[in-house]
Amino acid sequence: MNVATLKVALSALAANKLRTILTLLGIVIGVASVTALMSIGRGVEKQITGELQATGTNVLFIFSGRPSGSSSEARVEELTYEDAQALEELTWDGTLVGVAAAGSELRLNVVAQGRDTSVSVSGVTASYPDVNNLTLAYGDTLTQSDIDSRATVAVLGANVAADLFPDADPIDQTIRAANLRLRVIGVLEEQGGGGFGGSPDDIVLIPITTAHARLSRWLTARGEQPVSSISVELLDAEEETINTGSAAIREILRERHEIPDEEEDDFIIISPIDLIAAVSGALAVFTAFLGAIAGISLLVGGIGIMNIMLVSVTERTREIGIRKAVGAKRRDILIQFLVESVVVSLLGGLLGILLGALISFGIAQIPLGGDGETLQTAITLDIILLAVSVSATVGIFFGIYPANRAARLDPIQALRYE
Amino acid sequence: MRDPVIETTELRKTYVMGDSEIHALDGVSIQIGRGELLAITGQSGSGKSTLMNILGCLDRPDGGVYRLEGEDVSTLNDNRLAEIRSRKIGFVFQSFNLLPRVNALEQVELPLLYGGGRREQPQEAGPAAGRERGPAGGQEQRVATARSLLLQRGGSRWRDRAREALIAVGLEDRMNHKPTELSGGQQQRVAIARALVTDPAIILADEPTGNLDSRTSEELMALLLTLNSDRGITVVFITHEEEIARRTNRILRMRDGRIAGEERGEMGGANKAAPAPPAADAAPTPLGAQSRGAAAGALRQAGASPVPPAQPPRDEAGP
Repeated sequence: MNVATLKVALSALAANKLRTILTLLGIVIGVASVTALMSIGRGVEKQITGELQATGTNVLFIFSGRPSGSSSEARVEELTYEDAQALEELTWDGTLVGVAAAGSELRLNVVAQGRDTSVSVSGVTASYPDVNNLTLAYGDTLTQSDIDSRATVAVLGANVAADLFPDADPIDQTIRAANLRLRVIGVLEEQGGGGFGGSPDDIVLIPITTAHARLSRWLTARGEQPVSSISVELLDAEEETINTGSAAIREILRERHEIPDEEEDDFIIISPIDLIAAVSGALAVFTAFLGAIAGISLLVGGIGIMNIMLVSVTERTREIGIRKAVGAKRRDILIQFLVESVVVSLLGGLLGILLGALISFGIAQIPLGGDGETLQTAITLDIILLAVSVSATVGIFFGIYPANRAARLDPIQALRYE
Repeated sequence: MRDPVIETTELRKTYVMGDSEIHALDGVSIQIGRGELLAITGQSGSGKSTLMNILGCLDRPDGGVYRLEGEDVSTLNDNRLAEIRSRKIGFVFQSFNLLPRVNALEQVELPLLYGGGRREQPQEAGPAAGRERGPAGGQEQRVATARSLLLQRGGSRWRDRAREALIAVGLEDRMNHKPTELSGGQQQRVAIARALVTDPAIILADEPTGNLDSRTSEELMALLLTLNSDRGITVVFITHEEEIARRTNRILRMRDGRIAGEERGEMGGANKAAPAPPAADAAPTPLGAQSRGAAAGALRQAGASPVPPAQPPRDEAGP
């Protein structure tokens, strides 16, 4: 392969411009759709992991239970408010910032001023909104004294406030949930999206002690107040901080749950980093799937190359005969035709990337909902490398058969061909 | 025969057509000397095309031995045959067989690119080519040599050789023309230049004038005869035209796959003296280093029209 070979290939392609362009088009469309679809997949990936990161990557979530696949038969201790209080002592070591516990969420019908809405009522600790990145729109948040005094107060999610009090100030209004009358002291800012466990805009937060005393009086075997989860905010999201934090939490909880050394944990600590990794892993599969679907059109383009190359070999039988008569070896002819198909597919690949980038840019400009949100797209280097290498491979793969056919022609018959 | 370029013994080639076998070659033993001018004649079906294909290393015999410059080439594989073709064989076909869309210079360069340029490169480079040019040409040559040294390849040297070959066939002003821009005679001259650019052991001319009018035919015959007498290139005509065959110094007549007879051609007497004896002429001679006078003499003696080979044909100026 040298400059002369490339020149021969280019002049052969130039001699049949329309045909070359049409063949090129097949590859361009294939590569463009691979690029565009994968850029959508990548964009969605970025968007979702970005949202996850917004909830705070330095927060560990603790649930009771065993990891799936565990074979342990020992009893699982519920997490309790007392566990959370014990973890709070750890905040002294400098890596832990805050501990928040949420009691079991109750799906309740909440009534106020003749309106009602179904919400999830959560008993929480005072630091819960802070640790979970929930910010207050107006009013007051729950305080430690509310917790201690089992005050009958509530902080409403944005949607709840809008549903119950469409045109009145909800502060100091009374709402009723089951047989409990609660005074509204604050409203949360609209969070949008869904963290996990439903949208934070549809919740009502009340002191965890109140929830235990008035809504569910159930106690664990140890006589403690059960909670559904504990979140622990760490100083930062460094791997070291997260590892030390998890280790410390584990030690305390194992001790409190009296778990023997040989027994597994009866709680699960999830760091958002694990979560993001899991989610982006799943999304990468999604992206690859989109790419594979688009790859089908690339395959069709490749078959187009093969078809045209076969026609071209037949048409140029005499030329092949001449070249062989003056001393071209099989390899020379093979390379000549292979270079031709690779040039077509690579050129198509490059144009396809450009077109795909344009399409993906265009998609990113289309508003999705009424709120001006758009589908994000991202062209990343790996997409470009993939597109280039796949199109080159297509060129070689679909070019090798016609090229080989040309190379094997018998010079005498090729020269006689009309 | 001294120093035979081609020596075959009992060449056989059989084709199977349905149930019957056709013996295209049925024991052909010939010798062709270096610098010889020879015609192989016969009617269609006599086996002369099959013989040409085998002599041209396009095909292998089913039996017998074919030695080309002493080397047994009857059992070589396709790649080795291609190598031999690129270095030792030049073809001139009835239908010219030029590549479409490629200019004359690149047509002639083609065999060099495919390996025919590899032979005797070191001594070929500067002097011989430079001598023929003026001081300006020498300058150009130095630049070309420097460039080829830079590239560590024979690129520009090949271009020079192609240029010389085209000058030798009288096409110095048609080098950048494509086949569609050339007349039939000019196209065949390009083909002849392509055949001789590698300085081959033998040029095989298969009905070279079959597609040309009589006047152009005459000019091309003269050119081929001159190349033979001037440069000592072995030329073998494969033809059914008695007129052409008679102008060589030996005629082999084929019938039914055998050599049915051998005669002397009209050039026989004249040519015996020209190419054969001097040792210098017998060796493959680099292009462009020849005495023109002797050739012109030989031509005149043979009664051919004295068209100097290096001169452009006057009647073929337009495409």
